Amino acid sequence: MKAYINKKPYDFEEGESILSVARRNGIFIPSLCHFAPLGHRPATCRVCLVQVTDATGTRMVTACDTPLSEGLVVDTFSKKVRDMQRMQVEMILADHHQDCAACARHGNCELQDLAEAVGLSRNRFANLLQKPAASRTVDQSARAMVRDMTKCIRCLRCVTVCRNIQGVAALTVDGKGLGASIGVGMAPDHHSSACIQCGQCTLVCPTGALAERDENDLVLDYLADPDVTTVFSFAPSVRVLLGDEFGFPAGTNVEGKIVAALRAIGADVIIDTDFAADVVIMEEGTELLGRVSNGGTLPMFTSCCPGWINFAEKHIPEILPYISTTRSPQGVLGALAKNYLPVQMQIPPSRIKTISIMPCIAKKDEAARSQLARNGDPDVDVVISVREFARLLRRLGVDLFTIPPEPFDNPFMSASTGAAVIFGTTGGVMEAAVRTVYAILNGRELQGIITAPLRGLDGVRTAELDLGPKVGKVKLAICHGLRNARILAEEVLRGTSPYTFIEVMACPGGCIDGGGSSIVKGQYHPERARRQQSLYTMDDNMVYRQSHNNPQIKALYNNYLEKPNSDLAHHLLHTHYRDRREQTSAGIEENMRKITLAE
Amino acid sequence: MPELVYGVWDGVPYDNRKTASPSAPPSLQLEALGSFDDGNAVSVLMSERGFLVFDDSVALLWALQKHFMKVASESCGKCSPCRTGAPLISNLLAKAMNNEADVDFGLLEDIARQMQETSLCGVGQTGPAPLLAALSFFPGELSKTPQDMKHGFYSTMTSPCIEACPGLVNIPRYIDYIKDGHVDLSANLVLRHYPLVGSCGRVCVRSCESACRRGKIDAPVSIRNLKRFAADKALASGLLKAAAVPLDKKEKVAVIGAGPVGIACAYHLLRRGYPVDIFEAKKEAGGMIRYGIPIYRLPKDTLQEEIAIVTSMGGKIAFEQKLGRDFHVDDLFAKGYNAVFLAMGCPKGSYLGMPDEDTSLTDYENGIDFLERVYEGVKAGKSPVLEGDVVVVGGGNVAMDCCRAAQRICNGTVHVIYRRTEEDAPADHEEIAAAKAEGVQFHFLTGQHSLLTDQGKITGIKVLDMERTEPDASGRRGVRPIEGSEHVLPCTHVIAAIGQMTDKDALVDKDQINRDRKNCIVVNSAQETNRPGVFAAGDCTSGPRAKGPTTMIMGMGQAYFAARSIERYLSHGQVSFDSRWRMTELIAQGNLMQNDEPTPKIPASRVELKELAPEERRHNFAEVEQTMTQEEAWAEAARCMRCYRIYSVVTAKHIPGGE
Repeated sequence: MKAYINKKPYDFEEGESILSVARRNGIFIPSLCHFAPLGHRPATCRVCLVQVTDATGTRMVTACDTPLSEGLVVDTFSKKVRDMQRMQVEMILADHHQDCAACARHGNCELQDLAEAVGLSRNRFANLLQKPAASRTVDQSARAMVRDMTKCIRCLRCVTVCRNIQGVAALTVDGKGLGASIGVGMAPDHHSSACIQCGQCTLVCPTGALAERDENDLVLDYLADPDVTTVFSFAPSVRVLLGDEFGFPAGTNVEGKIVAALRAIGADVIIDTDFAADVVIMEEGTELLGRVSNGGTLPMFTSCCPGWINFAEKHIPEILPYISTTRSPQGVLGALAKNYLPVQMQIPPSRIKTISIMPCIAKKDEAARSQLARNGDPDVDVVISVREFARLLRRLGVDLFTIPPEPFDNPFMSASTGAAVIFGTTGGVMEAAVRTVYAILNGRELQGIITAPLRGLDGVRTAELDLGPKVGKVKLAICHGLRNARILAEEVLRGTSPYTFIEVMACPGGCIDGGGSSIVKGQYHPERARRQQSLYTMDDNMVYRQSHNNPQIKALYNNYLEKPNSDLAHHLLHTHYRDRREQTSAGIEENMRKITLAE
Repeated sequence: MPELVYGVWDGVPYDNRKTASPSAPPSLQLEALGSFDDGNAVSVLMSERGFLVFDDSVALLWALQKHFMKVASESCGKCSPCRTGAPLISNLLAKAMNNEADVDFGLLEDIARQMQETSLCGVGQTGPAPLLAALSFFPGELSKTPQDMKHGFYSTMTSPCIEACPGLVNIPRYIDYIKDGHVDLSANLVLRHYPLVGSCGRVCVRSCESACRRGKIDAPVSIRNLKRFAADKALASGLLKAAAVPLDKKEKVAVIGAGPVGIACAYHLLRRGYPVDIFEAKKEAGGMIRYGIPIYRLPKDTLQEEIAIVTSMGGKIAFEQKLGRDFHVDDLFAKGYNAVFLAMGCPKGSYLGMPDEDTSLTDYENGIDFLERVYEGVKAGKSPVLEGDVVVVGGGNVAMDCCRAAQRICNGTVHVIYRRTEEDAPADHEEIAAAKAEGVQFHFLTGQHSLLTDQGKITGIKVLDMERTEPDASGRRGVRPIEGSEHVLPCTHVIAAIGQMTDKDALVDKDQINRDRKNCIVVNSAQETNRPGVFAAGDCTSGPRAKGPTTMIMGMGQAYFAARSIERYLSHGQVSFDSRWRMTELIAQGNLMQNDEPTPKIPASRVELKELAPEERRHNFAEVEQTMTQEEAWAEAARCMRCYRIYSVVTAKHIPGGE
């Protein structure tokens, strides 16, 4: 089939949109709400206007949701098209927060790009609106993120990612007219809503309407306080994520540069979340073997991912007994930084402030859990995402690109293994656990490194592994994206799950595409494969591949914890969960008042 | 007939102020637009097709500003041009009305055109039409600023599906609420109209889907199934809970009949604080949808939960209290009820009326009795068994209920005979398809002749072939028997499913309530009977909305308006005018709603419900259709195009219930 765009003929398939054919052929049509990676096409922004002519006449249509038809004549560039595209953006901006400079997305905003694309040169309407954007909700109640509806342009991408990728469906469309914006369902505020704060919505939001809570000023306060000993750490994936923000090719390992940058900004102690990941394997692996040999609750789910824990607590609490009680690497790191490290380094624990750099924003919420605090003092004092850390370095004038790399030097909590570093990708926790569990069970290392079928990017991957004569063959499952996690969890609750151990990472791809990772405008997880490969390459090049062979791990158990799952280990490194499912209900009559429609 | 002074309709300007030969839009039924409420002339009409001014003393600017305030207040806010454009225009028009000097009419027109040409849904696409028409053809009228307007104004937002629904349920809004993630509000929106959301979501005849403009692109939106989804997710799950309401009104209402119509009317009155007692002849509430609609289509726990909304609110149901047997209308007034609502329905089934037919034969039943017998049997855990072959006579939904119920309990073959063609059958065609899938044998163009019996047992039914007559003047084709085509369909059981009737003993002459020759209560559009304080609706009535047995949604729609009338009667002593209903009349009688082609959209397939396989349905009454998944509901809801249009009238005087 053939149609004409700007007078040139193009082939197309039945049902294809004007926008997709134009894009395929390199014809630019400005757009905003459309989000191709998720097939999201709400047609709400009305910016991708084109003029079409067929037998019935000439009219303006939106290119995203209008199919090409045989012989259709499309004009993407006439004066009328350009004028109407420009007025559309002028209208969107009139109903948008007016102070760009104060926004986290300043310079990285799709609406700013769009204004440039349509040649916006004036702002006639903002002052004419009696209900300005500034009157909409700014919800600060959630620990990890801010829902700033003054910046919402109603593209609804967040709603789609929350539903289709995560299966959480916490986000709703509320209000009407100029008051329409993204809400949190029947919940009174964001914190108490069904939102699990995974932050995937912040990766697709074109503006700053859904964004991480920026806590850099707290970090700066700690750095500036002479009575505080700052203990910085960063997660496995951070070393393959941060480079993006400073011009490195995607997936570049910038571990040494991060260490150097942290020293440059005045960090007192720099330790590695990798080390804590190895501790997690020791504890979780031992816990798993205990459950297997003592008839404990199986299958066991991993517990590293706070998005998953929030999901389990809020959406499917029946699954909580199946989740490992081992704290996440961040939780382990915080406990050891405030208990083990002070003993080893002779620092008063009360001076220590732990600052965790994460690919994740749900880790902010995790750090605030009462279960992860002692006498009201949280084990992790502040969590900043990769995006915030990049901003922090820019604020402090540190250019990651040019700074020479430096090694870790902490003798107690900075050694890493290949097992630890792959925690950053889906399948990594499982792979690391298999290496150590096999060795504990059989008294010898697994021959070679088992990769297939644990590696890959399919949403659910399963494998059967022979763990040796004591346990025999076990079935394992790995999933990422909570929609997949729900499927596996429901299977467990039905009693039909064949698995012994299940790894869950809330974000698709795992931490390498965490809700705190870099935003690539208009794309969804474009660098996943490179980031994942980079972690695997680091694993390949490590001196130690297994958590139990990490010399600092051996020292930790020999000198302090005695053995995995010891009383002290339980006290410091394990946690518990609680049912936080919201039992919402509303009276019919009281709900009538919420209907936004004249009777 | 009102005289058009000037206006624009479908892009054509009319100006009769300086012409000897006045003209008017030919498609319009102008005589229908004479007055809005009684004696209150329509001065200006505004709609998606333009505007018409019948009274030159009305300032057009004022009318347009009122119209645009409505547009702005109904803008959903999702798409940019309508969200921002509607309030901008509203404000600019207000400034113009205040004689502010700096109003840029060029900009106003640009914004309005942007809104009309680029909005996502009907609100933005059609809302600016009268303003743009005025700016194009009568710009001078907009410079006339209004002087002390004492005119009436009424405006409503509707759509083809809403106008097709006898209950005027705001369908696009409840679909939107599903799409927006507010399934509770979706159910709540339907609850504005009636409490039986999940029941209607299962069995409605869905006139709305026939009117759905999405059908012109691929297939109509699955409106009924979305409503069922909302009910299953919000009501059945307990997300929405009914609670006692303060019954603070002194006046009491008696409702006769706990069918869907009585329940709906009671519900609306309870919502407004009136104590209501319902008198039901049978042992259980639900009327025809309990006894007449088989369980595989409407599980009775769904129905019971929805009836319980009314009792939770404080409504009381007295069972086995039958009008005409246990009490009369006078008794109710004597007991202190201030108003009576009659909704006894048509509880009697009709027989075929064949020559010498013996209705005392145990195996010759009417559909109503048969379905009730099956319901009682299934409820008691011993569903009846039909030995041998069964013939059901009829082509409506009751016939489909009978044949599909019979198919579940019969060890022979179930036949349906219907004298017209399959296309002519009034039954929902999905029901016919389902019956066929379950194994029912259909014989269209086949009429009944007589029963064959042997020693009091049916042995068969003599039938004859029919043929279609040539189309008459109206294009309608009838049927006539083919001579000599009589033949016998052997069977042991015959079910007559051709209609139903009122109970002749319910009302007596001393009740002084007018009835038509079919014994249906005569009502007006306010659902009033001739007797003050007595209102009626549903199958037992004959009025402007429907005559005699009708659909559940029609009955519940009537109940909605009846409740409004009763409320006005009780609070003001008289039933006043209903602007919303009048607007529907005006749209229909004036032929106002545009029937335009939707602009092309990328096709999206309609979600079809999963069903039990036909073999899984044998010998049980398990619900056949399974509700949508959440993902399916979101996808289906996204197919709605929100074909809203806004209709406004300016009238000479204040409109009761208007502005």
